[in-house]
Amino acid sequence: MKKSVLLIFVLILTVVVLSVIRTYVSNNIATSGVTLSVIEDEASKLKTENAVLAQKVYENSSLINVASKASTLGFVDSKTSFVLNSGLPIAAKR
Amino acid sequence: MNWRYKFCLSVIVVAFLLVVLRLFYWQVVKAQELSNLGDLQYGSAIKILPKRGEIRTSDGFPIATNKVSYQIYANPKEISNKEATAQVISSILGVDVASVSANLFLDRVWVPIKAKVDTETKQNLEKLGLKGVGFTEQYTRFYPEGSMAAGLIGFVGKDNEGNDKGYFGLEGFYDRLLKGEGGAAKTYTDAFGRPILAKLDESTGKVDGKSIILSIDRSVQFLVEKKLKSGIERYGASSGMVGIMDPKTGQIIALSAFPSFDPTTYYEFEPELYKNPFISDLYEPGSTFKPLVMSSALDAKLVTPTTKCDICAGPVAIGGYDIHTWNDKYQKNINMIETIQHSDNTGMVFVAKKLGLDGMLNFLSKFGIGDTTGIDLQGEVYAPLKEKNQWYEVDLATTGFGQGISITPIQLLTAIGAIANEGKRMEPHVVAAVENNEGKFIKIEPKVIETPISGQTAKVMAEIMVNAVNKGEASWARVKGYRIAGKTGTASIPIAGHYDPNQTIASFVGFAPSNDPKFVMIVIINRPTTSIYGAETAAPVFFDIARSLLNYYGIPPEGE
Repeated sequence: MKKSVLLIFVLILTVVVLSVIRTYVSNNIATSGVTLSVIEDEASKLKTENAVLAQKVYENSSLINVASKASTLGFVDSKTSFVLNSGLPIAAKR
Repeated sequence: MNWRYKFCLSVIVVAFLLVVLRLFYWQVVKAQELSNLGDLQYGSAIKILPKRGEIRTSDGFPIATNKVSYQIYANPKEISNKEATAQVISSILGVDVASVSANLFLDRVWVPIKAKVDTETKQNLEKLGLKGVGFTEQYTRFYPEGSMAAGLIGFVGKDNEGNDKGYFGLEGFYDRLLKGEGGAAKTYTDAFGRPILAKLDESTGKVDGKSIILSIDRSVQFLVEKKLKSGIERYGASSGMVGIMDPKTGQIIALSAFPSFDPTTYYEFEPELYKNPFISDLYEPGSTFKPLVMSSALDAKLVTPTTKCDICAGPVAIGGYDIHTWNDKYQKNINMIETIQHSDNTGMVFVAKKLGLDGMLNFLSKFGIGDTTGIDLQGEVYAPLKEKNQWYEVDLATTGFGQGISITPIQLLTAIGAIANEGKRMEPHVVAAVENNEGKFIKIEPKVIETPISGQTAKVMAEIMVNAVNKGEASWARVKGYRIAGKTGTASIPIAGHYDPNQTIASFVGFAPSNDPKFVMIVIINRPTTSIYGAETAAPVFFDIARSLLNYYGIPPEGE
């Protein structure tokens, strides 16, 4: 009999403790929406910044831009090409 | 006592039923309406647009991507000095002051000022802190290489509902894959407008578009466009195009056509420029068609390279027509190697007659003539081969040298690719792989469509084409030290039932190195004015590009 009373007491106590914890946590995070919203805004800003920087990288590394800059700097197309063939050995085996 | 008990019970039951009925009314009948009303009070729903997938070249560079831009709008009710605000906005955005002013005087809470404004301009405007002027972030299509490969890429416009939609080229063909799926998001706030954590940003259904990776080599594409443009100018042509394919896989390495358009400002160009002539324009190929007919006859063992033509001493009369050579010079007993070398029409009539109508139709079908190639681009056309009973004797003869038959450049490129690839015709592809949303790549495997000729015949034909390059009309332009297989073409343009004597489509098709081809290429110069011949216009452009490609791929000379 005593054991069953103890068990019921423990169960009730557990329920009460968990309820109190839940209430406490819920109260604490209830206003975190604002913080989370600020973090989300910040993440969104960083995403935008990243996209803008990526765009600049693409613009600057495009062949049209590179060719135009190369031309301004005086680079010209190579008109000759060299081919390195393997030379004959000093003593050719016959 | 008993009736009182019953009365009370009845009242309670009726009251309970009334409550149930009322609850049913609110929770079932009016449920949606109340839910919407609630949403309006504490939540806001927004449509989330998916990010369109990128189109990347083989080096991973995005030639079509997205950039951040801004929609500038205003709330006229918050603006006190409308004239001054309109002046400032118009000077920064570069729009007409009258139109801005007209918008600001409207009796509305939201008026659009300008869309697709770049970040720098938006920041300049933002710094002024104008009251009642706002910005909405949006993504617009961005082409870092400008108009490079525009005909291949297509462009992004709007559909009937104002959503982005790809048109023409890859943007059109892969639109469903690239655009992804839109979603919806709801943000709930409390009575003070602060976001509620438990229900922050409930977004559903958004799937970003997948990216596609092309077989197009950006460096080769850039080089080809530069050389094609200069070729068109040099030869006073009206237009031109170049296509380069890996004959072993069917992957397109470069595809260019001029004049072209800018995909960002596509609406400023003539709509005729939107289509890709490489897959959408039919033309008579002329002599570039001869290798197909010759290899068919060789494969059927109806001729050998040394077979002598016994009708080539003069013009050939067929069906009331006299068929001449291009220069009206004739060589008695010319063999098949020389027939291709001198691009002799009478020799090809001889071959066509040997092949016969059944043989011709059979081989042309196997080479993919009269059908689409299956290239993954929007707008491919084809001219079906005529029914057997509609062929006259002269039709068979003229088909032998590429007249009286219409094909697209992509058909010829893939057919010649079969000669370069041991007789195997590959399905041409521009997309090499698709990247899914998890970042995994799904490769598109090469596909053999048909084997029109044997590997042995392909080798013999390649040798005949190498001889044509080294000793034919275009030999002056060839790349010395390399074995390049090729064939010139000077096709007449049919107009109103006859051929225009002054205008031609000059072309050159070939592959290199002939023993282990790295690329097959076709150059088409439309209506050149400095010379009407392919050997003097398209061939120099072909060899100029080929020289650069052989260097680019690091292929050393091996002797001719």
